[in-house]
Amino acid sequence: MKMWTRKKKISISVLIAIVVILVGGYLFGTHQVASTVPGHVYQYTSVNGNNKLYMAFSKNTDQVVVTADKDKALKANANDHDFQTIYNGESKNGTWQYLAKGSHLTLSKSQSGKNSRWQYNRVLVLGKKMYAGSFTYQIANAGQGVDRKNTTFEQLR
Amino acid sequence: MTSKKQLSALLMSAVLAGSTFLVPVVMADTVNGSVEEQADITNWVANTPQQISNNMAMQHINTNDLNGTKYIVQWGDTLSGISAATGISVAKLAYDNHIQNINLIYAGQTLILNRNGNVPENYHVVGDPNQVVISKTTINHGPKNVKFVVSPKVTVNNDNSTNTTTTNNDSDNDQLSTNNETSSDEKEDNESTNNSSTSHHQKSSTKSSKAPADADDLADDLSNAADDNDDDLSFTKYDEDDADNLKAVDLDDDAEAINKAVAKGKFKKAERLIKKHLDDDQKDAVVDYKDGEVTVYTKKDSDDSTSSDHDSSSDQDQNNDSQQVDSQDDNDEDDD
Repeated sequence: MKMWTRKKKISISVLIAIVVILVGGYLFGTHQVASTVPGHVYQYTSVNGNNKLYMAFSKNTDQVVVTADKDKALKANANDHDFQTIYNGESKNGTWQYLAKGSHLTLSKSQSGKNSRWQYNRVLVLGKKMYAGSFTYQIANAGQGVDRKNTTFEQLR
Repeated sequence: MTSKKQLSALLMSAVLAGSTFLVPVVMADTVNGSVEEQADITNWVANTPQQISNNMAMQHINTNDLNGTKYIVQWGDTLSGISAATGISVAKLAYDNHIQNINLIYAGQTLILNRNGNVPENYHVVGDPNQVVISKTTINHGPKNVKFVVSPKVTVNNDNSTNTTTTNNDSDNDQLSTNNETSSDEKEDNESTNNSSTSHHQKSSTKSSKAPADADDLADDLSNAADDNDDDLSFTKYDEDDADNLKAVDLDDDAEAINKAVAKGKFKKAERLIKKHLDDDQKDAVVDYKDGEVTVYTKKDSDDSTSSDHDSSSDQDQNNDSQQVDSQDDNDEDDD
């Protein structure tokens, strides 16, 4: 059997190291959502890139303020009292809860006894941004399915 | 001017004129979009009044001069938001646009905005003005049954204890509360349709899968369905002459389900849903059926306390029937 040259061995080792780092980094990045999201405000950009939403995730509970009003979301993040005030104020438009686990982030909206959910799959956390590879939805009186479209969350605070 | 210049001027005029006509069409297209865009969460969060004002400005609507102005409803709009943006009350918006159930406004629908005129005193809107507009069509995409790997514990207040409310994560057939309701009722509906078509009465057998022709037909069908359901309830058709003695029943979120059930000829389901919103001692109900929408009335009580009682009992039911739904599943695998 032909012996590998030192140069070839180094090249292969470097290649393997790069693959391990990339795969490990991806796995690490896709399992960070649970520890990253609580206590922060994110700006969500829609599938078509035209619409924005703001989400203030509670640090201690599963509540999340989901609103089109950026100021409200930022204010909700100030302290627990402000969060609860805004959360309660927004409840007429539906109450929102969330759960982040593994590589998934699910947002649930309850209004008038109906529940709708959006689960973001393969959520990759890269610094202040999170990228979801697809989302699964069940919307009351509308339908359900899986959309394999990328969506972006950007941490504002 | 040379003929070439005349021709180019003519073309320019045509392009400019055409663009003015195209504006409403373009606005209408923004509310359609692909299925992916329709399902996007941004469409299901209420727009702020400021956003609605901006949408109106894009449609060249001057909110200070609303006199029969047409507005194409956008995703995320709520009737309360439109009301806040225009200063027109929810009741006036509903009245001017002949909307009986304000939960049934859909993105792309044209609303007439009119500050002038009044709403009759006996006119009451049904539904939740804070509900975002719905999609005109079902936005199913991909698998029929979706799987939620992760879901928060959801407390869904539901005024029907028989409805299942789920957010179980490990179920491959995970359904929304509404979907569950639909699926379970769907089965029964089929039975109901079959039953009524085979055994009940000839009339319904020939039209069991069709919507009733008018309120009279609907009253008959619902009365028969009440018999089938062993409910002591009879229905009569709505008579305008008797309007002063009637009050509309708030069908709440079931209004759409009832309309659908009636449209499909599933009267047993419709009757059950209507029954939910009536007092237990209620034996008679009046129904109207126009443009595919069912409106239910009951006779006014002398003290008129029934409606408030009904509302509070409904709330109580909601509290009583709120169900804690466990999230579970530590499975972190992607479902796709």
